[in-house]
Amino acid sequence: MFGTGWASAIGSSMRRSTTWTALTALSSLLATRGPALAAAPGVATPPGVVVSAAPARERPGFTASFGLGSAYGVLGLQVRYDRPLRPWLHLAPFLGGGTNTESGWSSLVGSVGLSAGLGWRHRLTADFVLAPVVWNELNLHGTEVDLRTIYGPHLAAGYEHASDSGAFQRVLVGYGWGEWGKGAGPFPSEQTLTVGFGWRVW
Amino acid sequence: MVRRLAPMAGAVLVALGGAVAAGCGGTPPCGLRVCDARDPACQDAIAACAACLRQVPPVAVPVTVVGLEEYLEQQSAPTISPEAEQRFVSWNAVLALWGLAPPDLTPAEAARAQAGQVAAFYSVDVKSIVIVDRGYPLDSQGMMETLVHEYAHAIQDARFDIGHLFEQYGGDFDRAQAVGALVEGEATDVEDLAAVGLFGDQPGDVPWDRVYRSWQERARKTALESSLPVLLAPFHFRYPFGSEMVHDAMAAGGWAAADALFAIPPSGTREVLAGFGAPEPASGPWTEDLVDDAVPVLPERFAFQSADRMGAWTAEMLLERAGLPFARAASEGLRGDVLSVYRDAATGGVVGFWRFRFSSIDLATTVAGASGIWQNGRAHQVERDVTLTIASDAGSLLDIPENLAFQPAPPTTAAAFANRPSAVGQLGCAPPADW
Repeated sequence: MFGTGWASAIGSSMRRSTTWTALTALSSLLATRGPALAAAPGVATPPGVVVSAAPARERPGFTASFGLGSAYGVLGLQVRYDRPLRPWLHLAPFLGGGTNTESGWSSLVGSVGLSAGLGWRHRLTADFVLAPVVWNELNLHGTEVDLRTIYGPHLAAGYEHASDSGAFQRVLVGYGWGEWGKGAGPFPSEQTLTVGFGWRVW
Repeated sequence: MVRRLAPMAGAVLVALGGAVAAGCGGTPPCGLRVCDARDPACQDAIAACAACLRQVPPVAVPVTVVGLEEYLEQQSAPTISPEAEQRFVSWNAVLALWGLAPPDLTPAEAARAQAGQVAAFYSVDVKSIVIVDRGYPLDSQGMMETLVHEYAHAIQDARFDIGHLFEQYGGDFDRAQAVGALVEGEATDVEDLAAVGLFGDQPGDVPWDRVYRSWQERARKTALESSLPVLLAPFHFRYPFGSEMVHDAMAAGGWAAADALFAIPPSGTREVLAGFGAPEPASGPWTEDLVDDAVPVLPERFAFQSADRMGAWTAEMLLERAGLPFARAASEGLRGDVLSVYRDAATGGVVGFWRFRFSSIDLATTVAGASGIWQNGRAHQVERDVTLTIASDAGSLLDIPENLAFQPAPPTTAAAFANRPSAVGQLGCAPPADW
C-alpha cells in the first residue's frame, strides 16, 4: 500500500517523468482525504488497531448513474466499471443510453466511452465518448419530415466528487464532432455539458 | 480460445463496418456532395446534379457571390422615370386604402423589401447565378440545395426561354404569378429532390401532402400578416402552390407532364390554387378577360394611372384581410378582374376601381354586400360583376357616378411593379427555413 500524504507520493515518483510527477502532485493536491490505512499483507495487526478497508471509490466495481449530456443520450442512464489503477487514478469504461427532446422522447440512443479520474475524493475527470452529437433534421419548407441521430467522438473534462460509498457527482464540459450518420455530411460539431449522479451498485 | 475468438471478432468488426457503410453512408442523389459553392468544380458538380435530377442535359452558368448589403443597395436604387414613380405612388396609395400596402412606401423601399427576401437568384438577363451572402456557410447542405434550385432555373431558361415565357403568358400580375408558380415550383421540386437525397431518404418516404398543406397554410398566414401582401405575393404564392402543382404533374406523368405545363402554363392563380389536374369549372373558363369592361369611363379630372389584372390570390388577400369569411370561396369563383387607379386633379387624391367577375351571381351578391368595410368605399353589382370603388378623399367618391360605364384599358398600362422577371430580370430564391 502507498503511504499517506503528498510527500510520499512525490517521493515515489522521483524516478518517473516530469509529467507523471506533475500529475501525481496535482492529484495529491486534489485529495482532501488520503487513502485509508490498511495492514500490509503478512503483517500482524497490533491489538487495538482498527483496520479499515479501502473505501468503495478506491475499489473496482460497477456504478450506475443518471444524468444529462451526450454520454447519457442527453437524458438517460449509464453503467460504468470503475477500475482504480492507483487510489488516485481511475479508469472506467462505460455504456450509456437515453432519450432526448430532439426525437420527441420517442427513441433511445446509446453511448460508449472511457472515463479517467485523477484524485481521491475530488477528481479531475476526462471522458472520451462515442455518442450522439447532433440530430440532423430533414425540414422541407417548415415541416419536419425526418430526423437522424449523428454520432461522433466527444472529449470532455471536468470535476467529479466521489464519496467513500462510491456515490459520485460529476460535471464536465467538452466538444463533440458529428461524424457518423445517414445522409451527406459534413455534420456539425457541438459544445457539450455533462452532469451525472451515480452510486456503486456492485 | 483466443485463436477461435480472434477470427470471430474480426468478422463482427467487418460486419459492423459494412453496416455502417451501408446504413449510415447513404447515396446522395446524382452524385451530389457538399462542397464550396465558390469552387468552379463544385459549381459544375451541382449543375450536373441539377440536370441529373431533372433528367436533362446540364447547363453551365457562372456563379458569383455578392454581399447582402451590397445587393440591397443595388436593388434599392432602381432607375425609374418620374412618370413611373408617380404611377407607383398612386398605385400604392390605392392598395393602401384597401389595406394591401403601407401608404408611404417608396419605390426604393419596395425594391429593398423584395430584395430582402432573396437568398440567391438566377439572372434571366445575364444568364448567371448570384448568391446573396447572408453569412450562411457556402459549403453547407442548405447552400447546395439552393444552388440546385438556381441551376434548375438555368436549365428552364435554356429549354423554355423563361423571358419569352413570361412575355407570352405572363402579361399581367395574375398570369405572371401563375407562370412564376410553374417556374419556381419546378425548381423547388428539383431542390427538394436534392434535399431528400442529401439526407439519405427517398422521395417516396416524404409525406408530400402534409408538407404542402402545412406550407400553403403558413404562406397564407404570412401573406395575411404581411404589410406588403401584393408586393411580396411572388414569394408568398409561387413557391408553395407552384411546387405542389408541378409535383402532382410529375406524380401523374413524370417530367414529361411538367414539360407539358411549360407548353401551356396555367392561366392564373385561380387555376394554380385549384391544383394540377383540377377540371375547369362547369360554369365557365378558369379566366376571363374583362376586355370592354376593364376600366371605368370617368370625367376628365380623373387621370388614369395604371391598371392590372390581380387574380384570385390577391382577391383572397383583400377579402381575407377584411375579415370576410367567404374570402376563399370568392377567390375560387373569381374568373376575371381589373384593378385600375386614377388620380383626381381636383382633390389631389387617388381613386381605385376593382372590377370582379365571379362565376355566379350569388357570389357577386355576397361580395357586394360587404363593401361597407372599407372607408370611402362602395360596391356596385351588375349580374356576376362587382365593382369596388375606393377613394382617398370622400369628395372624389361623391363625384363618381355609381352606375359606371366601362371601357377597354388603355394600352401598355399594366402596373410595372409586379415583380415579373421581364421587369426585374431575376428569379429569386427565398432563404431556407434554417438560415
